[in-house]
Amino acid sequence: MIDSLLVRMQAVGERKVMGAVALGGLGLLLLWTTLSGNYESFQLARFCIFTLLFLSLVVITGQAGVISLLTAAYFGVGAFGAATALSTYHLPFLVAVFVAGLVTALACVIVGLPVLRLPPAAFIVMTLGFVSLIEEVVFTNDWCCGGGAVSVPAPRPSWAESDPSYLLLCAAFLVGTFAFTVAWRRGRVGRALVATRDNPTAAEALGVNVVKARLVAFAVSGFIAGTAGGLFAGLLGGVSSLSGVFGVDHGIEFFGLTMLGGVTSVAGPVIAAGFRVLLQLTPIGEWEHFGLLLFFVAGPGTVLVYLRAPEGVSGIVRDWKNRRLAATTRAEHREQPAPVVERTGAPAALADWPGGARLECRHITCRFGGITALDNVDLTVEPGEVVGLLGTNGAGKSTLINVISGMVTATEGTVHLDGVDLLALQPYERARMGVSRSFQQAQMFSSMSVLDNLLVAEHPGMHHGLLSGGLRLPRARTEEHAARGHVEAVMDVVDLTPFAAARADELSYGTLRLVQLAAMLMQRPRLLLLDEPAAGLAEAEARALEPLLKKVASVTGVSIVLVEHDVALVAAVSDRIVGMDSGAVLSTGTPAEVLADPSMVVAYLGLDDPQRNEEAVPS
Amino acid sequence: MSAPLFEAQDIAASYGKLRVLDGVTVRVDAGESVALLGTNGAGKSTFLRCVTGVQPMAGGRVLIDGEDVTSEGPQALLARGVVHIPGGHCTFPALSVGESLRVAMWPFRKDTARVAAAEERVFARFPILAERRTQSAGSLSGGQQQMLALARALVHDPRLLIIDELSLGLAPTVIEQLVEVVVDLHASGVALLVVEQRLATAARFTDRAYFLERGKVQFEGATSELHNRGDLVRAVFLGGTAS
Amino acid sequence: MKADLIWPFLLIGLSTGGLYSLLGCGVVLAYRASGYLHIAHAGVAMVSAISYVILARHLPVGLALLVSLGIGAGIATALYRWVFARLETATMAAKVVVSVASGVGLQAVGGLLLINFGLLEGGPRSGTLFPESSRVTIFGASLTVQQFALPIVALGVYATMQYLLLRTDLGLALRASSQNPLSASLAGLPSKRITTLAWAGTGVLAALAGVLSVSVSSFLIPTYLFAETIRALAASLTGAFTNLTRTVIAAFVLGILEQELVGFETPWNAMRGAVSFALITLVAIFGLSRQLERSERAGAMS
Repeated sequence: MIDSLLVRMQAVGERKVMGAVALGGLGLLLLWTTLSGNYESFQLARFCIFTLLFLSLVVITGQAGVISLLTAAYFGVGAFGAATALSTYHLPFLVAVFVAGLVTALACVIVGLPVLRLPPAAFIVMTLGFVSLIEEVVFTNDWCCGGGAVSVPAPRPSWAESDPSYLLLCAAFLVGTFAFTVAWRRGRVGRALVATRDNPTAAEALGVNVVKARLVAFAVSGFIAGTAGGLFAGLLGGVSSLSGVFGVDHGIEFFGLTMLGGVTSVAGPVIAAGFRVLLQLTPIGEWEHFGLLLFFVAGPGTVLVYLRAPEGVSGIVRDWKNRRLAATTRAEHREQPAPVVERTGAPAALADWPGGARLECRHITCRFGGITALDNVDLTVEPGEVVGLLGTNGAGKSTLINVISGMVTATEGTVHLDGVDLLALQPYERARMGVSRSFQQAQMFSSMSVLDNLLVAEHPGMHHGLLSGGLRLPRARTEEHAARGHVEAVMDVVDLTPFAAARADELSYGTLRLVQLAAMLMQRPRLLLLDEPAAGLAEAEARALEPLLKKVASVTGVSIVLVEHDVALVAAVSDRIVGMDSGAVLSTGTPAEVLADPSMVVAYLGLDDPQRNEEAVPS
Repeated sequence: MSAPLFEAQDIAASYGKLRVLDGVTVRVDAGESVALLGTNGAGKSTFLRCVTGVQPMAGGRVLIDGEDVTSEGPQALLARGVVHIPGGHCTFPALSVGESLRVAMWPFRKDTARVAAAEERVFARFPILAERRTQSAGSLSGGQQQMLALARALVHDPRLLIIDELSLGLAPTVIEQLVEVVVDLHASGVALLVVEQRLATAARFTDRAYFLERGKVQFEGATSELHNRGDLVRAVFLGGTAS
Repeated sequence: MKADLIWPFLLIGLSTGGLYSLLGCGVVLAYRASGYLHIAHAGVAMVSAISYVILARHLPVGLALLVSLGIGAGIATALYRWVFARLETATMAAKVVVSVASGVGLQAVGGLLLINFGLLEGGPRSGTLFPESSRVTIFGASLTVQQFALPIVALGVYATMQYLLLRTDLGLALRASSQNPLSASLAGLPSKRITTLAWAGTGVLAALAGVLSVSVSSFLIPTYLFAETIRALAASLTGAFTNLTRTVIAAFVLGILEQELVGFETPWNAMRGAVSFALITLVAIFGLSRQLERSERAGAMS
């Protein structure tokens, strides 16, 4: 019964179902409370405000991956900001809440700036210091915000004076923010943000501006927390430092509760806020200090959840759901290498593919200290040709592709791509020229789906921002549509289509390597530098890579330099093999020729005398 | 027939989803010298770390003198005379040479006579270490650091020395010195299990070799045979293409 | 500020700095043992302090002190064994989350104790470690004996820790394990036992700070010593969480700076904590960001 429901839900589109259920539920709840009276409305408004507040943590911790113990302080900044705007400057209520949001966003960005520079431990200490700074300077000081115990009035607007009508206002804010957050999370900016959290280096390599992405997250998070604070001030009618939820202890409690609910899903804050408000309402008998119970939940609860399920309660629910789904649809979902279909023409979306480039390396010499890693190496790759590099560790294969991709500077020599001097260009400029290099470790964004992983690669080519993404303006929609088309075409080339919706951390290692290959193809490269694509693969997976690489080469026409220890793979895929030893080219020719060369075999197994490796420096 | 000094049976290990070792069996008899060969990423170092119990393994057993010591940790192995020198940066950079040796002698640190004797023996073998006694290990040259690593192993009077990449990143003359020490040790009856990249180096002081590829033993036999018979090397080398 | 206030505030500052220094030593020890930013240190100190106050009602102060030190050691060991040791390979972020959450859990325990033993309503308190009535007056500052003793004890603890770390086998083993865990365990060091012992040590240090800071007048709450521990963390930041000497110096500087600011007029005296804190954090960050990255990497490895 549950299973069939889950399956049907997935068919309709889970988000739509959940959204509809949430909206319907909230509507019924609102109807009931507004009818039943002030007390219930007041409490439900609290719930809405705390959900909003915890949502700001989803943005900053769940998406940007930054630990923030400052939520309570931001809440306070928003509350005091709105109250001051209302009582001192007599701004309209909604404007005051908006201003509170802006002020808090600014504070959040200022505090957030050092995170771009600091390791997490130091950042935590610093933020803890900032809490006390904000507390002492803003909340309790005489010369600001009424100071001390004096309350700053925050009158509600005339059109939402009663508790039920104020509740409706809070609920409207919540629904709006929710819709916005969900939308922009799924679009370009949100994707880039999750990518920077999962793997900052890889995201940067794909052209995501990590600094900018994080600052945007800080601002959005601050804005949400600030508006929550503003609404809170209105709910209470005024704030003082005695309002009691702005201190560092509450910052920690909020953090703990939200982690408990789960910060990787928007359901987390709902769970956390529900928990908090319900606990406060429960008749507590002997527990006269309800806060204690809260602390027991936020503390040991988080520890327990974190030891077992780092994604909190919402993560546990998701895992449970996935298990049920997997059990019912096991037959269709089983991971198996898809049959390779030989294709004659390129898929339509690949029609504008740039094709292969001609690479010409001349007299490359590369020295580190006393070691000569490359000694006068020549390498030419014709457009569309696949050249395999064979040799032992230290033969210079990786150094050579590092020189081409720009990660290592050659001491002497030239590298030309279709006549353009590559050595004069920065690595990212070479990437724009169409040089794409793989890494031995699969660099993926583990919490994102395969589709999203590949969409991140389209980030630099897309331009819509936070607002148009959050509001789903036509521009954002068109861009998303075009990007998806390209991703689907690339997934088709490397046979990844069946895995489009799977999360990267649920894939087998072999499939992950394919996702990595697809991510490289997303950039429409003209020269692929593959560094040990078969490393770590099982025998069957390594064999399956042979036809796949051939297909990539024939469909896209890209030129490929393949570095690999797996002789069989290199022999099967390459048009030509270059055998290397001790930084020099030993033999060049067709696979059959090179493999028949006795000196090659000897070199590959390191049978030569170590003395030849002269001048090695002690490390 | 008595049980071999050291036997690792069907060792399996994974890093997350990545299967690194898939049922590797290696045996070393008393006084024997064995090489573990294979390309980068074949799983050699992982194998050593698994059998000495500093890395959890997914399956398999480790026997010393026929006694099961699986997952008992390095202390149990040290007590039975099996010492593992890890590859790469295995020194304590901020400790002095003397302090590093003292750490190595932790299991018998209270036995002052034994400590003094071990120290004397080690300094006699490596006079350079005696000179640099108060110098920090991180400031030693690469070769001296490896000597210190050997010295830290020798204080235990090992019966079996497990060495991971003795020669990595060192100059040929330095390698020569270290190989001499190891050959000398082997001559005095210490069994060896050595990971080496280069067959030529391994052939100089090992009797038998295991060739590891894709987490499995692809070949087992005499090192000299592997070194001298081109056709055999070819067979091992092209093993992957056979399929 | 008035010139004649400089010396009295300096002395009070020494006492405050002593407390920060004591807490800082514990934080550094925890970081060296397992690469943990030990935010829950405050919780250990607070629960131990409350236990001491409760115990001192029935036991002689000395015995109460000993038992509380034991309680502190027990809590820290339990935290390590059941929580932190299971996250050794986790990311720094995960470690911080769990450390924070453990601290919150300890606050809950502390709150429970405070309620059950009627300490929130200012119930009967008895005996501090030193007689509360006798005071020491130097340079115009009137200090309780306990306040006077704090910096002395802190320096004593610092000296003892340096001795233990640099001159004993145990300290050697701890340094070896934190520098190269793989080589240390291959050398047969019982790493787990040594780390546990170090954590027990952090508990003793936390309890010592708790007991020495608590007086008849102190306001016991679940966040007791929390702000002080944050100051101690800031001080240890200047030593990249590993350098004991720098931590102790920074702790004393921070304490003195904070107390001297009291002598200034509004609004500075109201912001003394924040101003001095910001100052020392900035010094730490801009002076040490490179060293920090290194030690964090080392911490993540251990």
